[in-house]
Formats: sequence, structure tokens, C-alpha cells
Amino acid sequence: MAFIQLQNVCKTYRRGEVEVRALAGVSLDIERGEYLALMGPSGSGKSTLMNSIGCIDRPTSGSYLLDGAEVVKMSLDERARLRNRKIGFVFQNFNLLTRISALENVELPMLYSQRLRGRRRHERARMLMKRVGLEERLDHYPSQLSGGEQQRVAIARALANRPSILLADEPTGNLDSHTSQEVMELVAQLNREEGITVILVTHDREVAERARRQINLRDGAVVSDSGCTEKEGPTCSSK
Amino acid sequence: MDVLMTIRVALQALARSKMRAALTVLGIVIGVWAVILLVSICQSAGNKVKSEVLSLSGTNVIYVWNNWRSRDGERKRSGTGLIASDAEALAEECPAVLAASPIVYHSGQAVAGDLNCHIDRILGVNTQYLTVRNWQLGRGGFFTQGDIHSAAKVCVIGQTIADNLFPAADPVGQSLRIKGIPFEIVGVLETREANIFGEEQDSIVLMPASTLHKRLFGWPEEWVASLMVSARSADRMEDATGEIKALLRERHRIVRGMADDFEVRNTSEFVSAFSTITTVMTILLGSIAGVSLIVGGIGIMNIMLVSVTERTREIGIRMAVGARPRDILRQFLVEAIMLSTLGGLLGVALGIAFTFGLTYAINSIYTFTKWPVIISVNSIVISLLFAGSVGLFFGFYPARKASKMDPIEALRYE
Repeated sequence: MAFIQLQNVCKTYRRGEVEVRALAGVSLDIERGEYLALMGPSGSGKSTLMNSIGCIDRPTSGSYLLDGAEVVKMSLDERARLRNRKIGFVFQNFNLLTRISALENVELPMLYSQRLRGRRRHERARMLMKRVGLEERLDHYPSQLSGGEQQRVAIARALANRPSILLADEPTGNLDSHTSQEVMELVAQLNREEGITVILVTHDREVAERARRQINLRDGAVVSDSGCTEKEGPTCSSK
Repeated sequence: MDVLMTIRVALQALARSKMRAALTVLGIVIGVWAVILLVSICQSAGNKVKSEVLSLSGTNVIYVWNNWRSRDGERKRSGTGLIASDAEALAEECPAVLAASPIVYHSGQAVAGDLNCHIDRILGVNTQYLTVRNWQLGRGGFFTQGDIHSAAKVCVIGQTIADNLFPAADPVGQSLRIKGIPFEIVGVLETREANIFGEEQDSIVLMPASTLHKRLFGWPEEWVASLMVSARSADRMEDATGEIKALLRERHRIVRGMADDFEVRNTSEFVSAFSTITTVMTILLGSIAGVSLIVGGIGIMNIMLVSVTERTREIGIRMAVGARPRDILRQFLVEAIMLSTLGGLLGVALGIAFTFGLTYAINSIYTFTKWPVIISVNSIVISLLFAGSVGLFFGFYPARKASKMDPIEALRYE
């Protein structure tokens, strides 16, 4: 069974009087250690799909098995636990807490998991900051860091609880091409060396082409999946 | 997130906006301040009254009154009533009784030469009165047993009467007139401070009860309004009370099963009555001050709601990295409780400072009062607990609102 298994996932929500159909039955298998880019025009549902995979959003119908567990039926607390333990988020606008230091930002997920305490938590956060090349910036506040540095802090934060999935929503959207390169190199490295499943949403073809598999969405449905050709067809059908 | 960490995060959040936090807790500060101050002042007043009552009469004074009411509430006599000789009998026959005096009340105008003054209290008593009241003579002597028998026209006066009627001379040996009847002054009482009610004690004239009856009232009888008895010591109050009741029932020929025709009260009962009054006052004023705590709580709720909205994005981020709704709830709740508790602590400090200040001011304006400083530990504990609960109560709604947020919406919030 695939690590991430989406079956006929639908998501509709109301915006005022209008009912928006963000996902119109997506079926998708993603294996452990894949490097995957979600693409598509805005409004195609790629962010919704990613939020669903990230357990922030809950599909209206369908089934989502993460490592064999059904996420759609999970409680808020169970999904919070999954986000905490198995998933790391990287956002376009970094989403760091501005009033605490970089190091404290990295510690944040560990505060909620409570697996490491006190000094050992600091040590891990320091180690992660070193991993992303920011060991000199521990006590800086996000506002004192450049965009690329902030995004690397966000990646360090995403890695805090050794997640198996890294979800990146337009991670280079606010970065210049040079820092984009750096950040994407770091992401690729994590995928290569640590076997973390990377799923990224991007508009940027160059960024998307770094991924080993590209999926295109339109109107809430998968229209093309480069992974499909390599694997046996029926599991990644689109409707 | 564990509790310690939550508290740290809350403190950090508060430290970021000190001015706002300070203004937010102002209501709580004032509330707790008022509770501490009012309760403390009330309790010192109560204590002052208590000590005054005790110093007024001594700790071991017992009062006996006529009680004309029978059990069915009709006014009828079931005994002979109190008479002056009851006092002598009590002093002689009750081992726990040190001294006893009848009290007959009157008041009026005193004239000496071309001066006159009002007398608050003209009391008919016996020779043991000064012992009962623990009062001394300033000058001269007291009237004698012989004066009582003959209803002699003698009196002992208080210092105020002496000052008013005999501003220059020694009043002992002179006479004053009440209702046109001359009384020879045999002694002057030592001066006494006004009591807590501001009642002057020195506007008094003492004379034999028999004299008051016969010369001023023109009554042949020796009925008296009350008896004032002192026990040998404070520990023997109960004994004395029992002995007084037994002896008076016997002397008044009250048959077994019939109610007493008198009532016995002692100072400790007065004190407990006063204590009840102070307690009621304390609770009343404390509650009024407590209302401002609730107002303060609304202030906290208001600011917490603003804060939750302002920090929507933070809430989204925390949820994205794995905060459960209850973690968010706890974070904001702890923040509200910290706010109100810190405000409470500040209020306690201010309340204590003001209690000392006010007491000092009272004592320096009214030098004779020697008002005590009593900081009620109960009021501190209760108001702190109350302040904390106010935070809990008014913090709950904003915190719940925060915990109910949708992480996606929260992350998009600008």
C-alpha cells in the first residue's frame, strides 16, 4: 500500500452564497521518499490538495490514508498530532512567529510534541539550524533575517520532529532566483539524504522540474501525472 | 505543551505589550486594592470597637436587666423585679462575684451658683460601683453605706461637671442643685476618655440609688433598672452568671418552670454582637469592592478578544506545527489568568500600602484613637483567588474563540 493514498477526494466549501468545489475527486498514490510537484493555475485546487495532505484541511468526502490511517475520519486532536509528528510545513510567506528568535521558532513544534525537553530540545534546534546553515543566526528575530534565511529557518522548524513528509507551498514565491536555488537545493538534499517525502506546490516551472514527479491540476482534478507513466496506471486515475 | 512552558509563553506575550497589559489589569488592581483596603479598615474598626467595649467596662462585667415579658409575650410580672438590695446580696453570696451595684438612670440640669450645665447621666448606684467599673476617684471620697441608708443628699461628680460648675474652685465640699434640690459633693471622679461612640464619660453624677429614688423621683420603692456586676476574673464569668441567675430566681421567688424576670448579659456577648456587625459590614463592603473586580474582568475579556484577533496568524502557525485546539485554549486562558493574577498581586501590594497609610493618617489626625493596622490574610487570599477566577471566567470566551479557529483561515489572515 502506498504511503499516501488519496481516493476520490472531494472538497467543497461555501464562500458566501456560492459553493466552491475545490477538489472534484482526486485519486493519487504517493510513495515514501517521492519528490513531487503540484502545479496548476490558481484556483485549480493545488493548495487545497496540499492542505488536505497536510491534515490542516479535511476533505468533504473520499478517503485519505496516511501510512495506513484514515485521516478523513480523524478528530481535530488526532490531525494536530499528525501535523506535529509526521508533517513539516514550509510556506510562501515563511510564517515564522515574529516575536520570538529563530531558534525558538525551530523549537516550536517540539514544544507541542513534548518528546524532547529543556536542553535536549535546544540542542536539537541548534543542530537543525546548523543543518540549514544558520548556526550564526540563532538569536536573530525573523525581521533581522533575509528572506532566504527566514525560509531556511522555516525548513529547520518543519524538520523539528523528524517528519516523513515535507509540504512546501510556493516556497520560493517570495525569494529571488539565487536564494531560490539555495532553498531548493536544501529541499532536494533533504529528500535525497534523509528520504523525506517532499510535496511542493509551485508556479515556477524551473522549481517544478527539480521534482521527480509532476502533477497538474485543473478545476480540482488531476489532468496530468508524470509519475503515472512510470507506474502501473489505475491507482492514479483522475476524474 | 506543558504548563510551565505555557506560563512562559504567556509571560513573553504579556511582556511584549507591557503598557497594554498594565492598562488591562488596572480594573483588577483597583478592585483588589479596594477589597483589601475596605476589609482591613472594617476589621480594624471592629477590633477598635471591641477593645473599646472591653476597656469601657472591663472584661468581666455582667449586666442584669429586668425582663417583664413572660413566655407568651404578654407584659406581666412573673417575679418581683430587680431591687437595689439584689446587688448587695449578689456581692455577698455569690463566690464568683467581686462586686455589684444597682443602676438607676436619670439625666438633667445641674446648677451651682450662677453656673449651670447639662448632665448626661445621673446614676443611682451603691458603694461598689467604682469597683465594678474599675474607676478611681480623682479627689475627695465616696458616699458611704450610711448615706445609702439615710438617702443622704450627697453626690460624686465627673470631671466635666466639675470643670463647668466650679471652674476655679475645688468642688469637694461644695454643693450643686438638681431640680432645685441641693446635693453635697463628696468627691470628683478621675477623668476618662470618650468611648468609641464619642460619648463623653465625664458628664456624670453618681449618688446613692436610694437618694435618687426618694429625693429626685419621690418613689418609696427601691426598684432599679439594672444591676452591674463584676466577676472575680474573666475565667469565672460563666460561674458568676450561673450564680447570679440562681440567686436572683430564689430572691424573686420564681417557681420552677417559670421564666426569669431578668436577663443576664455579659461583655463578651456585646463583643460578639459587635463582631457580627463588623463581619456583616466587611462582607458588604468587600462585595461592593468585588463588583469592580468583575468590571476589571470585562476589561480583560475585551483586550483578550482584541489580542486573539491580532494574533490570528500566530494561532494558525501554532496549529500548523501541531498545536491542538486545547493547547491554544490553554495558552490564551493562562494569559488571561496571569493578567488578572498579576493585577491582583499589584492590588494586594497597593491595598496593604494604603491601609498602612490611611491608618497612619487617622492616627495622626485623631491622636487619641490609636487605630490598629489589621491586614486581613483572608481578604488577600480570597481576593487573589477571586481575581484569578475572574481571569479564568472572562478569559474563557476569547480563548475558546481562538481555539475554534480554522488553521487555513488563520494562516491566510493578514
